[in-house]
Amino acid sequence: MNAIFQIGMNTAKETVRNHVVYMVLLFVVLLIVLSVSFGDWSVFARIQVIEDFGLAAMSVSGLLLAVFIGVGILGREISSKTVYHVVAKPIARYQFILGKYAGLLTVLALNYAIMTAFFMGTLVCLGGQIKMTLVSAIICIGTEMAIMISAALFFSTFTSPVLAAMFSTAFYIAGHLNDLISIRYISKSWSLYSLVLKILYYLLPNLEHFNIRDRVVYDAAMPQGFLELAVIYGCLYIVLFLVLSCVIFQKKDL
Amino acid sequence: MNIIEFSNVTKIYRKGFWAKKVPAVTDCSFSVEQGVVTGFVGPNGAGKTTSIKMILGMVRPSAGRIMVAGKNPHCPDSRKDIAYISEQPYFYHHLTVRETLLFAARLHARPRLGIETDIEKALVRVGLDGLGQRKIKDLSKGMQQRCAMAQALLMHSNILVLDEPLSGLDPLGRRFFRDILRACAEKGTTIFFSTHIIDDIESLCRRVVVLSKGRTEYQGSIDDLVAKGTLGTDIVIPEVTETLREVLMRTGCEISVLADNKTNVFVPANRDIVQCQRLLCEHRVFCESMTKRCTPLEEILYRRNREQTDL
Repeated sequence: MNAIFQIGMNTAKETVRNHVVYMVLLFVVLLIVLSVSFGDWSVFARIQVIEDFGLAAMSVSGLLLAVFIGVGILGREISSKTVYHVVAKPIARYQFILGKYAGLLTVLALNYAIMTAFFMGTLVCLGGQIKMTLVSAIICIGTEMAIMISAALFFSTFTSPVLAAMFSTAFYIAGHLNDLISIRYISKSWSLYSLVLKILYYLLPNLEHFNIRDRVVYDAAMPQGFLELAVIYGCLYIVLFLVLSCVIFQKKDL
Repeated sequence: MNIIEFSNVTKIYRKGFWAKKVPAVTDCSFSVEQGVVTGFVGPNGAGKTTSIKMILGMVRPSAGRIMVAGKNPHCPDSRKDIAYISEQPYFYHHLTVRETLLFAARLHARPRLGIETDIEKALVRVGLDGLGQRKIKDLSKGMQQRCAMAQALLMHSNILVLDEPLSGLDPLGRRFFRDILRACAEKGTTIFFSTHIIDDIESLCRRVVVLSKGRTEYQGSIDDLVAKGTLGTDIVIPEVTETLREVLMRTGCEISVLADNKTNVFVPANRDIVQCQRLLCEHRVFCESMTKRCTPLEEILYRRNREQTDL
């Protein structure tokens, strides 16, 4: 546990120095600020536009952080060989992976907290309300960000940072389009094609479970226990990706 | 007792798109005795770094068995008593020297009590006192290498594994490193280090493992290796009579006249030197000096590899 904590602390120190974290933060802040003026041009109420834009920007920031920081965090260690400095010590490889993830998640959670504070502050200043569905949406996006980072870490254990970034982006897009697959396999009568789609549907995570922007915007009620189930679903994927990362990294020649 | 044991170890890397097999180490066997300084020699691409990585559990062998302090190198406990210094110091550039040492100490689960004092002592020992707050990226390569040595000293490890630690250092830095290694060896630390520099082998090591093209070419004491390369003995005498010249030449000696009119009698290693000495005594000729003529260690170490390359 101590080793994971130490590696996590070191990763956090390293990530804090990465300018991309601040660029993404700035990007989200800018989008939220712009959404204030977009509200005037829209047929919807200004608050609805801000909510929609803000939550979408926060979701995309998860992808950006995973692509620009998550995939590099391990690849950079291997290419610069700083990994030797750690794995030559009496620590297990899984501790290295978990430490890296924990450190990265800590900084990104802090970043996300700042985004959330700015978003909520803007909403309140413009007469909006902090609804329960809004808080749930923010928790869901945070969980999605944690999944994206674990996926990026997983891809970077067996491929180059460029490919890992591509895989992470594809994973994000596929995860959000997963519902379309289910519609296709239900409508298709050809059994093999339907089976392949079914396998894909169950293999890929459904990131749309973490997208409840519509409910926030239209102020619709959430089903009982939806948030808890979404978070559990997300945690299971995080555990799966981390276990796979540990197994692959354990066998990797450095 | 052997602290590191390699038994018929093979490592084959898979490279490229078609996963072409590239053997790095082939059926390699050697051992490192506890408390002995062992040099690990071989030309570039001989498999030294791969072997060291296997010792540290960074690379898995394709076949064979490796034991480090009686444990499998993939078990983290096997590295509890090992300090490793690589050819290039691979440190986190965002950390200061002190933070780097503290990070290493914590990964080694060193107790917090007294760690600050130990860090200061280690920094003084390697000549980095007063530089604890300096960022790693602001240090020269030599200084970073000193920091790596400070880290190794901080752990009080019984085994030092060094991968060409002295290459790239200036003569003063090399001498400084050698002195520290010598002091560690006197304390009974097992030192296993790979190098190209024969001077380092001669001045530090008692044993040597020679690797060539991934195979163990030789392992044993330096003295035995030098003995294998002994060509004969040069005996310098003031003068030689015709009779003595003939007698000596009959015994297989080579006679040559030196610049100062003295005579050099070379007794090849396969001839009986005692008989030559007896002949000189009988002819009342006294030796002025006797020296062994040896092939330089570098020549012995790399001769075989060169022969293989020539073929």
